[in-house]
Amino acid sequence: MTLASMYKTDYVQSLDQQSQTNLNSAWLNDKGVWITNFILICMIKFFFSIIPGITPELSWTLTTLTYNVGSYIMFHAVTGVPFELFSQGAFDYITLWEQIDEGVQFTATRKYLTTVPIVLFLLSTHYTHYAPFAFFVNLVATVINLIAKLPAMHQVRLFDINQKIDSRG
Amino acid sequence: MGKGSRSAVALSPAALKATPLSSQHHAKFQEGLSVKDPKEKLHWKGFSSSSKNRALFKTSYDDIMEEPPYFYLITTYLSYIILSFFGHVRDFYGFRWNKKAFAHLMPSNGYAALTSDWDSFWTRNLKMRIEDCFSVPTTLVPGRTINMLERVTKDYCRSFQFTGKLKEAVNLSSYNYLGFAQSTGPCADAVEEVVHTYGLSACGTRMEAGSLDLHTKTEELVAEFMGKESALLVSMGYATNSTTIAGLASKGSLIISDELNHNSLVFGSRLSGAYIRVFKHNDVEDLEAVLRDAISQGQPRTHRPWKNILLIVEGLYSMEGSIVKLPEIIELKKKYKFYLYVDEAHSVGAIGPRGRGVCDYYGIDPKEVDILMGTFTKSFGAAGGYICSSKAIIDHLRLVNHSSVYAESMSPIVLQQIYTSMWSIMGRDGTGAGQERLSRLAWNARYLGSNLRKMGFIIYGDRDSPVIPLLLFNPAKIPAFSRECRKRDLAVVVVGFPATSIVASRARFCVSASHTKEDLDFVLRVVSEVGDILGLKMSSRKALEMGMDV
Amino acid sequence: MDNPVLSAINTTFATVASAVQTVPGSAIAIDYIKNSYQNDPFRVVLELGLAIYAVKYMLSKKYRIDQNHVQLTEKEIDELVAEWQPEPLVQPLSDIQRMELDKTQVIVGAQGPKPKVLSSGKTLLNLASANYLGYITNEDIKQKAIETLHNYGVGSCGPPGFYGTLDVHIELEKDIARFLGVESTIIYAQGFSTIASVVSAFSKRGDIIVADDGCSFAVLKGTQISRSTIKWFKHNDMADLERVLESIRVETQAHKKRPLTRRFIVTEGLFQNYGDIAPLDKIMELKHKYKYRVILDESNSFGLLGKTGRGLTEVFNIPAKEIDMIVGSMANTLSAAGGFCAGPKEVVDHQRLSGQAFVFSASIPAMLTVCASEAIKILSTPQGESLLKTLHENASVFRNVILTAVPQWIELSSDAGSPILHLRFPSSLVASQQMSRDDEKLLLQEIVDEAAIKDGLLITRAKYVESQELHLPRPSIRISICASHNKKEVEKAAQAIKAAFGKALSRRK
Repeated sequence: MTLASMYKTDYVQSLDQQSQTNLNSAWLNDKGVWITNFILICMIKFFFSIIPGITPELSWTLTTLTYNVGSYIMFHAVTGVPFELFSQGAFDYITLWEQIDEGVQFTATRKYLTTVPIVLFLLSTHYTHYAPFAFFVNLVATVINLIAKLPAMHQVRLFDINQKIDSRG
Repeated sequence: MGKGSRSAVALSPAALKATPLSSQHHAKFQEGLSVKDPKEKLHWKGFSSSSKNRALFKTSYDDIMEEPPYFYLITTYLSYIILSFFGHVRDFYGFRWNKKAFAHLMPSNGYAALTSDWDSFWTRNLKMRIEDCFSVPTTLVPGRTINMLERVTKDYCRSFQFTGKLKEAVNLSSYNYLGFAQSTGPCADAVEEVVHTYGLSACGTRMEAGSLDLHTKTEELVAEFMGKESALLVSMGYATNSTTIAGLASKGSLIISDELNHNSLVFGSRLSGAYIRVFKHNDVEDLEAVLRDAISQGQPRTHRPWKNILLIVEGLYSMEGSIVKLPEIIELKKKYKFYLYVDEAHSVGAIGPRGRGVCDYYGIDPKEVDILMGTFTKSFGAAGGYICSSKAIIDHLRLVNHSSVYAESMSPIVLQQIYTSMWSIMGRDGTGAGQERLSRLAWNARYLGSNLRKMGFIIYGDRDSPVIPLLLFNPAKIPAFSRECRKRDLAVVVVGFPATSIVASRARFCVSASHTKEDLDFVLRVVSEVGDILGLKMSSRKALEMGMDV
Repeated sequence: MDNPVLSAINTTFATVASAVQTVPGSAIAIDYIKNSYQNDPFRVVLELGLAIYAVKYMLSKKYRIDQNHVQLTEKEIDELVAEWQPEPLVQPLSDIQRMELDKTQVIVGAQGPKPKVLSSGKTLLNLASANYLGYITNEDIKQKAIETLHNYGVGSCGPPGFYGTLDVHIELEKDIARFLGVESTIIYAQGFSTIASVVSAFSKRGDIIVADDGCSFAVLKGTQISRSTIKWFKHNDMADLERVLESIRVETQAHKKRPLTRRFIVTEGLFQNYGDIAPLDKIMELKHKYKYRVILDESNSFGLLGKTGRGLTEVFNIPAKEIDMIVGSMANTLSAAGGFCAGPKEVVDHQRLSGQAFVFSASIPAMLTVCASEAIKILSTPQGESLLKTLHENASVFRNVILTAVPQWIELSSDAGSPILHLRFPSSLVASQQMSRDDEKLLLQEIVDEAAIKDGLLITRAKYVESQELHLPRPSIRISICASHNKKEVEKAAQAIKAAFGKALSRRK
């Protein structure tokens, strides 16, 4: 088995993926998830705002950064399923983003999750009054996050985007 | 051994009669049961009359998955985020500075890690903390009450020590629907007899030299009970599915399966090599969409037509309490020409006026279903499972079912337990005790379910289901509910993600015919009390349910 | 500004601007746009680009990647549905299948060393069932079972994860662990389903399984469901095993970047399909050399091999602790039911959550659990040792009779000391006579039938699900020796079978 074929889905793998609901990604379509996502962003912003010495500009930048890094790790860096799904590792090399809605593109959840970082970026650049550094940081974080979400990047491992991070050696 | 437990669990038919089924509820329910009149049987065939029967049973309630207020949903998600976050912190710390405890998750000495760290993340960081609610060791009969071995933990559930004491609690956890888990009474007597005459094992596979006349006899009775030509017994319930499906479907066939189908069905389907597609739980419209897509598109890549299509559904879903929409599926079957496999593991014995599962429940001729599968573990207090079908299919399965060719055949004691309990359900023992159990179970199921609904709990499932899931939502309430109930002498099963969807953590009550009305009142009292402490009465349909009668 | 075109544009602009201002919230948007301009057109273009991308993404239609889906109209689908005709679920049985079904013996009354069969109503000498040590007729075990019945009833009514773990299950797990000398044990409700669950609990996609091609069907299905990369080595051929291991080593070295995968050697202790035993010492040597974990299926050898019945590890004098996973069955020698997996604590604990047949199945009835416990206790006593001794003596009596046949009509694949004996026609003879598989089966069935009628023997052909086997063994008669028979009976039976083989072959000639 070559390395490339580890990522590509074959007949048996797609059969194993389809034969059960993928509980690891199914919950993203549940009621209340989007609101929780929104509340979480508010909480991050609030957290950074109450730390003394952090200016509103910085707190916005940090919020965008935290959200982008966090969601990047969650959706694009970690592959597999964090519990026993009895699928014999059918999702082992597949990121959470690729697992959503069995890989169907442009579904409601995907649309929501793609729009959120854009809106967050627009808001934060606005409130940082376009300080060049903050703008640059926000832009890079957002764009990397968006590239990873492109349909063209589905099951594509490019440079370090979408690559599985092996934190434990 | 718990004092008095023997007498408590010993439920003889006489004991059943001794407790009067009080209140006019029961009388009303008996009216509902009147479909068992012989003249009704004549109108069995066809959808229209069956829907009439259905209407008799399903008076006003249909299974709805009620959603809780947003507050509970949001706090549930936030709880999981916090738990996962701390899990990551623990892992981060553990993999670097506590290598001994994490040794089996790391490669060492040229061997890869035995188990994947990410696959076991949830287990290690979330489930481990509430391990005391699972795998509870018990002893004696799992009847009306259950005896748990008391255990304590000093290292946060990593290991347990027995205190040597027993704790007896009202049992809402065992699949003892008809109360046949007994250590005395006709079944136990017959089994004792069979130990002397047959011994404990058949020592061999069915196809080699492990077939006893007792097997044949029991198979005939099971086939008759299910209204099918022929039956095949398998010594393990799980294996009944996992080793049979490969004999029915193969490469080129399509298996369409409900998304909540039991693992044994998924395992068997995967083993068969057939392609698998799922449809949304009990959603007939989605099923039709999947069927239309599958038939019109044909096999993946080649677009060749499918050899055949096997639809696999369960009769009663044990986590949801929902009953399969069989009449609609039978309608679809006529149009789309698929074969139908119904797993009645939980429904056989437990629903239907004569205890014969979903076909009986809807008044559908069992011949309309190609394959009826079920287990004896639940309602019959035995073990193993059966496949019922036409003689041609069963003959074929005897030769290709892995269990019948390679696995040990069913033990004579299990066969006798099945035979005697089924005999009693069919009323052949001449006492009516079996029928009494059936109506008792049906009444108990409705009594508990509707009263819990009235109290304002969110309950999933059908009102006739003896499995009653009570929704907990927040993860912290899973162990809390279990511990609080146990403290109050009530044994319940609690389930969380990933056995259910992430928000829908639940407690599951399995009602039994061995429960008396007093038991159920006790249960209602306890659950109401715990529900108040944990804030579980969140249903918005309270007012609607108030008017509902049992 | 007297250009009418310009003024028209101006008025339109003004109207649109005032119209926009009437839309609620527009003031904020305008303010935002005004602020964002800040003398940097590049930035505005970028922001606008992102916003347009977001809108475009929102408006895109759902589609599934890499699927050659054909667009069809509803009418076309209806036609296709009406046209489609499924094949029947099962094919009618062939003559030989029908024969196989009809000739299966049914026992009337109790199973035992001399059961009565339904077909002839006669009592036959049983050389077909797994009652090796004669536990089925043991009165002590029966007594114990009845006691259990009066405490526990029959079924456990629940999976082990909920309230189905009984104290007797925990006891049996301890008994087996103690008997084998390993850390921990887990029990499953059916012997056959155990190995498939064990293999698939550990070996996943991308992991490597190296398995003996003589392994039983249960092992085959376990490796298949695990979805791992499977390499087969020739039955009990250690040179071939080493060749396979070496080729995998070379291949992995070529891809250094690839993460280390789990690797397993899977083999059987006493082969159900051949009756011979695996060279465990050599396997352990290779295991250590190439860093593989060993899964040893002792379903048949547990309780049978070794002086005290501790299985293959006892035969080779290797501590059972050194084997990563020992899978066994309580249905064969112990005459109870169910299976087990013994090994280190991590191995067992992992299965309590990931062994599918453990997690999702009701636990084994208490009575059968107690039976197995009792049977193990007997094995540890002198009585057990003498039973094993008798068994092995009976086996060698049978074996000697078969081997001394002149001319050689029977090919015996079983090792000395094995109570499972596979009797086949010699392969040279089959080749020279151009016998097909069905011919062989029919001829063997004739021998089985004749032995039942003339010699009063209950023997059976080894049965397989032929359509689903991968390395189908040649047809054979499988003899299971029982300790309850005396030597004379065994010898007589062996003589009779030998004669039947000769007769069948001469008839064919």
